[in-house]
Amino acid sequence: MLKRIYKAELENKIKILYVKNKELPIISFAIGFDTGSYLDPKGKEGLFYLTSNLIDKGNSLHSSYKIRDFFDGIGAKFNIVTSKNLLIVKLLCRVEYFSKIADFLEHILYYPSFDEREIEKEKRTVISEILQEEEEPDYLVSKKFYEVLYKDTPLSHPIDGYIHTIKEIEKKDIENFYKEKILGRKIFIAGSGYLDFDEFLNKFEKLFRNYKILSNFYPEFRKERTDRRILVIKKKVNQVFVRVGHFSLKRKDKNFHYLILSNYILGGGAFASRLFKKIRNELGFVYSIYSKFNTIEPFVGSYSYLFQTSEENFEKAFKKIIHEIKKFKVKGATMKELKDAKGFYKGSILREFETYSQITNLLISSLQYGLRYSYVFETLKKILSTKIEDLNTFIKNFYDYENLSGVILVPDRYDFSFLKEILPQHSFEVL
Amino acid sequence: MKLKFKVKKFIIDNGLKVILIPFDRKITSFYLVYKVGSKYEYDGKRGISHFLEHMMFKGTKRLKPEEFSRIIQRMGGIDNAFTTEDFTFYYVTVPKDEIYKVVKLEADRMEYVTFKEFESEKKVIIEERKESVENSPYGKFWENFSLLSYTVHPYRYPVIGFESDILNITKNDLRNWYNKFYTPSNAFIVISGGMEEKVLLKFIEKIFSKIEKKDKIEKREFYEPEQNFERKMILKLNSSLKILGISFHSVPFSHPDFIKLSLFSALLGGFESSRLYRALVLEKSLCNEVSTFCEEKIDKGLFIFYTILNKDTEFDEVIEIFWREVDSIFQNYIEEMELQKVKNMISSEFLYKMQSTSGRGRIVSLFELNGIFDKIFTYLDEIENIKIEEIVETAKKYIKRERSNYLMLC
Repeated sequence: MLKRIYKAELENKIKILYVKNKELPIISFAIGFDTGSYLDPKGKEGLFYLTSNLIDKGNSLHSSYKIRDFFDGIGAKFNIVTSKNLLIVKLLCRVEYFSKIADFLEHILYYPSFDEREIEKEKRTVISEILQEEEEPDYLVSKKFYEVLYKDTPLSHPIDGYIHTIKEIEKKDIENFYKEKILGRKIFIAGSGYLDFDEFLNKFEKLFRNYKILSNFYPEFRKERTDRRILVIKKKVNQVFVRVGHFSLKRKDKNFHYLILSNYILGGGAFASRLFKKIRNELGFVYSIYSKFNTIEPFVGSYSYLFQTSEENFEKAFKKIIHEIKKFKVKGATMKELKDAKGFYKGSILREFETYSQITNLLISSLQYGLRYSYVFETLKKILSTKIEDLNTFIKNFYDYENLSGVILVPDRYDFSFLKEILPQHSFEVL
Repeated sequence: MKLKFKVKKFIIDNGLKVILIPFDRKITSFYLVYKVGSKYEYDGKRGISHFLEHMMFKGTKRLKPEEFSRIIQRMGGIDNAFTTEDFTFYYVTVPKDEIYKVVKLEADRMEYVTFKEFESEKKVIIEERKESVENSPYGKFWENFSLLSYTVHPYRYPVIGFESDILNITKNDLRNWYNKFYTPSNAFIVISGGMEEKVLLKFIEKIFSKIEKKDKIEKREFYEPEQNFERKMILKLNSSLKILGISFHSVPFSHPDFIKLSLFSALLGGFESSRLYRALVLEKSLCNEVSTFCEEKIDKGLFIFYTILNKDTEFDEVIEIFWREVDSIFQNYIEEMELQKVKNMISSEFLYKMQSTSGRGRIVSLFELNGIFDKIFTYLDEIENIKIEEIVETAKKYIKRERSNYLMLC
């Protein structure tokens, strides 16, 4: 489906990428805003999330209900997706409604009303969601992982904030944040669908011709090594839930393809990964275990290990995992592992561009990372030409079992003192 | 909207059905569906179908444990499986030229599974149950919701089984289950995406026809008595999470009333502009998640209303609003425009699913499994022609106070 890519740049430097495909009469497009929860002011954590959630809760012409009624009425899928470093407005619709939708978006994006009543309702919802997240161990552990790893940085707090900070947020905070830290940020547009590019471009030229970028500010912080801090959460459960890790690479890093390959071999490659084979298949200690990297451009990303196991197996499982990471670091990957991983990425690229939405996502990512739209193919090329010696040099330098930070959620009365022997240089905090 | 795509169905001599959906793609999805799920199980061995699904990845006479998945991954493909109450579903997506290898691999594990690493896999399943049910309020909710909603029908039991049952299952039990249900005539294949149709079909015939035809499995009927009184259950977990579910016995996916109930469900709580979403989320912010849906089951599934309440919202208030909205549709009907909106949503969803090999494959599998393969192309027309009165009169037959089951988790 990935055929010719059309490119354009508006006078105000907004970049647009588009792929035309007439297979089905539908179109997908996305508008990315270079913003995120890292711009939340201290004491008002959750402001970005709350503001984003309120964008489609009413504007100068339409109520919250009318907005939903409009999209549902024409069978369109409309979403506002938020993360620590991005806001994306996503649309999937039948092509005959594209023009109508683009016009409708003008009111949503430029004239949100941020009505007091809607704000209070949204705050109530967000507070309830925060409480609900505490009940799901998997989710809680992941949420707290970022707090521990990125402690004292703008990436530390959860995107939805804290109950006490949500309560502090006022209408004027939301209005200002929207004006300066969402609408005033760099944006990029991507799409894929049945429509001709000219028509696509015309609509967005009209919609964004007066758009002004007010700020490109990114907070600065240096984090290269973890604080070696483990947060232990006690809860009424009968398993131990773990997410520990360290810092990783930025997407633009020249070694990023080594990270992709090595992660696949160690823990990211599902059935093919070492951790899956050893800890799940051979020992039966876990149902799921994997490692993953997260990029949070333009900041340093994270690398982590996630698993859950019964309390009686935790000590053995944890020791075995550390042993496997250590072995990986010291001995590296084998030729066969590298060959298998290359095979996976060579074939899997064909699955990446099957749907209109997948293509739009790829294009948005390339604009977000500041990479060429062909970055996926360039990365693949690097993956396929990787030599084992180079990969193992990377593994030796990157993987780190001595400086892990993160979260371990344990049953109420669980004695975790053995952890202090395995991680003697770490500090432990119990919640 | 007319739904058009190429789809062809064949039956091999040993009874295996093969459905091909060729279209222009560089990848191909392969689905193998065995018509066995947890509803066929017996007390003391509940969870055996799901256990067997795990063991299908544990090697054959030719393959080592997990080698199946590793071969698929080496091609750049993905594979997995899931078990439901009605069936067990295996799926693989690979670059299109590799589909022949997948055919061989699937034929191999239809015949030669060896049940290696049985004990360690049992531990894995216990861990899966702990993670997804015992330590998850959502898992606890759904397990108890089925137990409450059915009194006799095996849909009441969890697909994963109870811990005591999982521990009780032997290698021999699994072998017998496999020999009985994993046969060509109790399965069908759906392949969707890039392919040379004729060559692929010939190849499938060659490979799968080697598998012996087995006796037809005796059809079992399952029964749930008519419910004529309300049932309520409170699950007290001392949780800050509050979930409410209301269920009603509905109809099988293949029943003519199913589409009408689905439309009613969409109107009531299926979308963000639906009646319940508007009342509970948009207007009063009483809940943060609302959905209604009809389970797509072979026997009578459930019509379900599911919601997560916001802090300080009372269950009674939500229940009252649920019935107020139901009664309002029953008494005042709805405007044509509102119905058209729901029809547009459903037909667009169909269109969106058609984008991918997996989407097309799954739609076709669902229709085939429920014995209504021929309806695929008329389904959207049927939806388009349904009148408001039909929807409301159908819903009135099933959505009744005396037939309701309430589960409140708090």
